[in-house]
Order: sequence, then C-alpha cells, then structure tokens
Amino acid sequence: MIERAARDQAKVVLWTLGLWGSVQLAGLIFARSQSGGLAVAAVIAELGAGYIGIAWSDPLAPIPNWTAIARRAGMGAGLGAAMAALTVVVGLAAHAAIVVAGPTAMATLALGLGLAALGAVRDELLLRGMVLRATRSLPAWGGLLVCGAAAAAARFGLDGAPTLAMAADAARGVAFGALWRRDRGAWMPWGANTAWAWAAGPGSHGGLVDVRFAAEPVADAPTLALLGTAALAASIWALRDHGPKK
Amino acid sequence: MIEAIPLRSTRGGLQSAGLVALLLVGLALLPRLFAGREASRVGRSAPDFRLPIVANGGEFGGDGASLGLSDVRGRAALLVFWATWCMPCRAEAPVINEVSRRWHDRNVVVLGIDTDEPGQGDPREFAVARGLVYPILRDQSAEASHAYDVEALPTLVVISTLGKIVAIRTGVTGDGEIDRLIRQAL
Repeated sequence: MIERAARDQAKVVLWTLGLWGSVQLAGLIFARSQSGGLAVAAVIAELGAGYIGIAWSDPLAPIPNWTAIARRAGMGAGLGAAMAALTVVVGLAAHAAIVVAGPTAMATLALGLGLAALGAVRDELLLRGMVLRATRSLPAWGGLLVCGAAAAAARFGLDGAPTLAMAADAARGVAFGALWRRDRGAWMPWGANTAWAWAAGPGSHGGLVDVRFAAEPVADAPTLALLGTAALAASIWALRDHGPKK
Repeated sequence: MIEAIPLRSTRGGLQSAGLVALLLVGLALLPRLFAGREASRVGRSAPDFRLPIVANGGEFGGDGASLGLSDVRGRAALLVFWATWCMPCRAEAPVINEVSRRWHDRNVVVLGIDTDEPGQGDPREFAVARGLVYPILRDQSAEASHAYDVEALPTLVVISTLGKIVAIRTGVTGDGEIDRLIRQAL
C-alpha cells in the first residue's frame, strides 16, 4: 500500500514537472503572442491534468449540470473579486493607495478577462490540482501549505520578483488550494483566480478605476496581512466540514 | 477527486518529503530554463538608437527632429514598442499615457516607438486621436526593434538612469507593474 502510494506520488510529481516545463516551452515558442501562449498552456494543463485524473468536478459525485457549475464558478469569482476589492479598501484605509477616476477602457477589460481566465486554467490545474494530488499522503493542511509554497516557487526569480510578492502569491496559493478542497474540483478556485487576476490587474489599473499604490501593489504590509487572513479563513472553511475522507 | 492515502512509515515520510521538495525546486527552476532571450538582456547596457520624432516632440526639438537614447541619458526611460494595427497596443496606450503624465516630472521619459511599416498606419494621427502626450518615434527601418530584439507587440523596455536594461515585458503590462519597474529604474 505504502509503496504504491509512493510510486503514485512520484508519478504525479514527475508528470507535474513535465507539464510545467511544457507550458514554459509553449510560452517561449509563442512569445509573439501572450494570449496564444496562454491558450496553449491552458490546453496542455487541461489534457495533462486530465490524463492523471485531475477533474473539474468530483468524479465520485453526480455529473453537475451547467447551473451548478455556474454557481460554483460564480461563488469563486465573488470571493476573488471581494478579495481584490478588500485589498484596495485596505490600501485606501492605510493611506497606501489612492483611486483616480478615469474613463472605462472596455478593450483593456475584455482582453484582461480573457488572459486572466486562461492563466487561471493553467495555474489551478497545475499549481493546485496536481499539487494537491501529489500531496494526498499528507494531512489536508499540509497539502494547502505545499500549494502556497508551490505558488511562491513558481514566481521565484522571475525578473526580480520581490520577496513580498512571493509571500502574497503563497497566501493566494493556500486560499485557492482551500477552495479546491471545499469545491472538490476546479470550478470555484478557477472563478476566484480569474476574478482576482482581472480585478487586481486591468480592473483596478485603468480599466474600471485607476488605483495607485504607494508601494508594491499587492505586497505591502496591510495587503499581506489581509491575504494571510483570507488564506487562513479559507483553509478553516474548507477543512472544517469537508476534510478528506479517511 | 483528491482522497488522502496514509503514509505512515518514516522511510515513506522521507520519500514523500523528498518528492515534495523536488516538486518545489522544479516549479522554481523550470521557468528560468525557458526564460527566453529577454531575461538574458536584463542588466546589460541598453543599445543606443536614433529615430525621427513624429508626434509630441516639443521637449526634444519638435516633430521632425531626431531623438536618440543617448539624448536622455541620466533619466530612466520607458520604451514602448507598438504599432497602430496592434489591438493590445491600442488597449495599452491609455495606460502608458497615464504613466507618462505621472512620471514626467520625476526624471522619467516615456518614448513610444512605432514599428508600422510604410503604408500600414499613421502613428501621428493615432497619437492625436487618442490624446497621447509622450513622444512618438518612428522605427520604419526597424533599427531600434532589431537592437532590442523585439519579437512581439507591445514590448516594453525599462532602462535605468545608468543606461542598463531593468526589465523587458511583452503583452499588455498593468499600470501597477509599470510603476514598480520604474521605481526599480530610478
């Protein structure tokens, strides 16, 4: 039993790294088109994660209809958008940000939404779904911590990524991992990731409003405290009633 | 979906921890392996170029004058490679415009480098119609595009006050990210 579990874990880890390398290669090949690179990465993640058994919905549960799927994704989107909005509110309250009114840039918003959705498919399947699968021998909270570490590792060393931004990524990794656990699938965390990336990116940087932060936008102390609290709250919510069946 | 499999032995625990460590190291290192040519250019001296100004050249001798990177040495520079036909560039233009307004008095210069081929589009007309305030240079001979190895549009190059490349970004870059990079360049 133990050997089988170890073999299974090794297989998932190697498969995850193979897919992660493939999406990086796709980004390099499609360097001329960010959207093209993200679309190919999403397809690779979907096919690769599907092969190893990572599903958007719990395969042991009845097949969800589109209403149920929309409800799960919508709930995640609400949580992600609320998190982004809270980040701005905390920044404003701490005098770390100001909001400047400006014209709504529909093209930026539409393009940003598409890119956020594709990026979320890649990240949720590879950095959460596969990671949770690779750590299922650990206690549930251990898997969530590894999700956080994986999110930070994925950013490590990328063009001077600051340490605080890695900490913010880690907190989001834990929170989205917790949503995976709660949802028993990808729809809720995908919605949350998409909404967060869209609202914290083009939505609050000239698309809907122009929020100007005094320091690193998502990595100042109040924001990190907020993200950390959100990660903790999501973990408690996810693990309290919906922990893994032993 | 994801069910827990107990792994209780010490040896099994160590194996599991080792595999998790391998996973994390791989996730961190693989993006660097495939980082592309842009990453290798960061930290190097920014190549000089000289191009004609087609719009908003008031500060640099007016439209029709030529402007080189050497003319703005000592200031942080944001080079934005774009074209009139490029939809993401059009989406990004208002963001760059705001960045230019915000940083203009703080030792930062924003230069739009139009890469339209002859007959493809009129960058001056575009700049006037969109109310752009930063200087637009025309790179018809692709001198600057080749010097910076531009493969995708828009491409944004951030250059420090010391003339070193701080960052290269392709695709639409957010306002906050641009601000962060400019702070790094100052």
